[in-house]
Amino acid sequence: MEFLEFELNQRRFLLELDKNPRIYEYQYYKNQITPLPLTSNYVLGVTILDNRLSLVVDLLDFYGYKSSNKLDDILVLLEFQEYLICLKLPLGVRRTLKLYQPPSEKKTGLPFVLELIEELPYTVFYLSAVISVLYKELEAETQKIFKEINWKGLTEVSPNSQRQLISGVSKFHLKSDEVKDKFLRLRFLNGDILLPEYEVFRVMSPDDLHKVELNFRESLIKSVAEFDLINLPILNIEDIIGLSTSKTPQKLVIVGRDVRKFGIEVEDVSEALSIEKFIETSSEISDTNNLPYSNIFIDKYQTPIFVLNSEYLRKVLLSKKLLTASVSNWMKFLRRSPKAVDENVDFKTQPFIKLTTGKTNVIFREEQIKEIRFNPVFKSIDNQLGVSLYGGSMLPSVDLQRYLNIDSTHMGIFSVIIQTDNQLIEFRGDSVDRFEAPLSLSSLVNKETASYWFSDILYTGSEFVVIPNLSHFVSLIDLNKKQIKIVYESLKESHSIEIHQQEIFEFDWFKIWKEDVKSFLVVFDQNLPTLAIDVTQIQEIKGEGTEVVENLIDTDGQPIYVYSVSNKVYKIIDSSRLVVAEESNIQVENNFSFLQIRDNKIPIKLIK
Amino acid sequence: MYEEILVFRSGESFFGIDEKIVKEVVLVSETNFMQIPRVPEVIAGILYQNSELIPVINFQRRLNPKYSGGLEFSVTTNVLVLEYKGNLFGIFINELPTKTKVDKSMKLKKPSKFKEVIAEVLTVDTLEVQMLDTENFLVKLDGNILEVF
Repeated sequence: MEFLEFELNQRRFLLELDKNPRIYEYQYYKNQITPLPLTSNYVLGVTILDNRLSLVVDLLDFYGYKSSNKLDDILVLLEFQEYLICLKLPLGVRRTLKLYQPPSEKKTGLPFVLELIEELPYTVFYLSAVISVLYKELEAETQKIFKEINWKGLTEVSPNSQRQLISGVSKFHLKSDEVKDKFLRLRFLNGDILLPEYEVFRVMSPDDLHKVELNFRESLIKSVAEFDLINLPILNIEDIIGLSTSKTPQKLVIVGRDVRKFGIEVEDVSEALSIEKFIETSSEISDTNNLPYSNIFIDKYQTPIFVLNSEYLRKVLLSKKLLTASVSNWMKFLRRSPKAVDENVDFKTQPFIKLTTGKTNVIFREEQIKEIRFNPVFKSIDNQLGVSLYGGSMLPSVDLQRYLNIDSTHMGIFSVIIQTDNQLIEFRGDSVDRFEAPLSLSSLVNKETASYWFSDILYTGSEFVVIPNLSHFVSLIDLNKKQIKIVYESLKESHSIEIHQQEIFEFDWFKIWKEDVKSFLVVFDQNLPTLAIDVTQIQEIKGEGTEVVENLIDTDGQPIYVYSVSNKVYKIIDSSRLVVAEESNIQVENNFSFLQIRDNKIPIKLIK
Repeated sequence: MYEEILVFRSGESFFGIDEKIVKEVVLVSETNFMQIPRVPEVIAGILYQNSELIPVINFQRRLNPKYSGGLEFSVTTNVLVLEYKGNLFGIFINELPTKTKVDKSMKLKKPSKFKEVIAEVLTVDTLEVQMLDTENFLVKLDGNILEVF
């Protein structure tokens, strides 16, 4: 094994070497090391050596020795497995030693003292141990940084993303879509930001907008401007990434193509160019989901260039409710328009489903509803969103109680599944009800903009009902796509055995499902583990034309009663719950057929 | 100058508003008023009155963006329905207002606090009544915007 020997303050050190290390003189590279914002002293920054970007770490400082800062210090670029690291060392006695009998196989990460005969004792660093401890420490470091700037608690910084950031610095090539995209380079005094052209909504003068300066400390944003019906938060890039502007920045870049826009004040903006025009070295964008930047480059003039992770910034701003409509716009939004009632003609003529949580009633048109369920398996991501299991796949879920009242820990037990243009969304609440067209309606202005969680409020003559703005929830889900996937995977794993049983037996009263145009209401008895019903439990039936279609038995020979519901409302007195289903149309072939319930798990024999 | 004003109490202070813009005073109940979740706290809720839905401002919060108390409902909780520049607004107040005639002998002085929304202070008998600056109170709602979130 080969070791590099060096000396500091009459102490001798050995550093294990792997492959052929490249050694550079610190004095020539000192000015080419770009400091990283908010890191510890031992992280000197990043630099390009051997055409590769590398983290530079002061090894002795990291291990708690008083660091040397002399002109004859050296930089050693080391490659170990997939890691690339540049260590700054004091020159001291610079030579390599070959030890044919390694001093110890213990690679604990801590340096240990080796006494060679007739030599001073050595402190030995094994490379694998140094790398592993260093990277672990850097992960903790990243965590600390984010705690310090108060990001923690808003969204968790996952260990994975830190690892990606840290190891991403050491190995590079461009992601294919980033090669295709054109980027704008936003110039600051001490570095630049790259932003994909498609993210930029407008570049304008900061003086063109009316700004409201903040009179309390908020590290994320420095001011708010009113722009295009929204509050446009202007980010405090200095606190977020460490890049600063002069007192009078020349340009304001508005980022984002939908309503979730934010602004960045900059000194100048370049034209849109391919990323290769900016980056001299070939580099890889590390895919960090939970950091404000997705990568750091250094150009040939040693300017640090951060690739902005605008999706993450948007997520944090949303979670702090900083991306939202202004109060005056809320008032405009809430102002009644005489035409609004007519615009909501759908709600006057169609039945709707009401999902109630606390004092808030949310309504959906019945045709929007794919299914109503009772207490499905659910796991929350944060106070806004969660994931439910739906058959064998995931279903983004909004627990209304927690969405509307962030401090609540209450969870709605009824689930209404809504089909939007692109996806299914589940809303959970405390009770579900069905109404024919309401008797009278008053309405506020109906505006479909993702800023507001509702698109309208109606008065039915006896209560207020709110129409949720599905585009708002779709965009919320889009922003959290990756997190939803992660939570779903863990949920699926933890419930893989229980799913079957839960779906069969844990509904306590009823279940509604649809099969093409057919839908049926099946009532379960919560006290029996089989699918059966005591018909006397149904004490009140509203509407005409309701009839028992067929007697069914399940595969165990137990009777089940299926009722055609034909848009009628059933009331089960025992639970005081209204339950609803649409047209009943059971197809009967030969003497029996099988109804499919939930992926063929429970075939039910239908006797003609 | 106002001919008649409506005076109401909020906390320890008395406030006045030009009677001409007050359309009516409506007693709040569970069936005609709704608080809306997830809107800025300066918006108290929605009032249904005479086939209209009217956005209602939380008076305390509008006056002082740092006010942290919630809405307090009692048997005397009312909404002053105002019509200003063709729009309807409500102000959520906790006590019934009283109507007072204004005469020239009443003293006027500049406000010492809430200067953004109070136009002047009027002395009615021995009471100091802070007169709302309607334009600022109703229209310029965006001051200290982030503090209300």
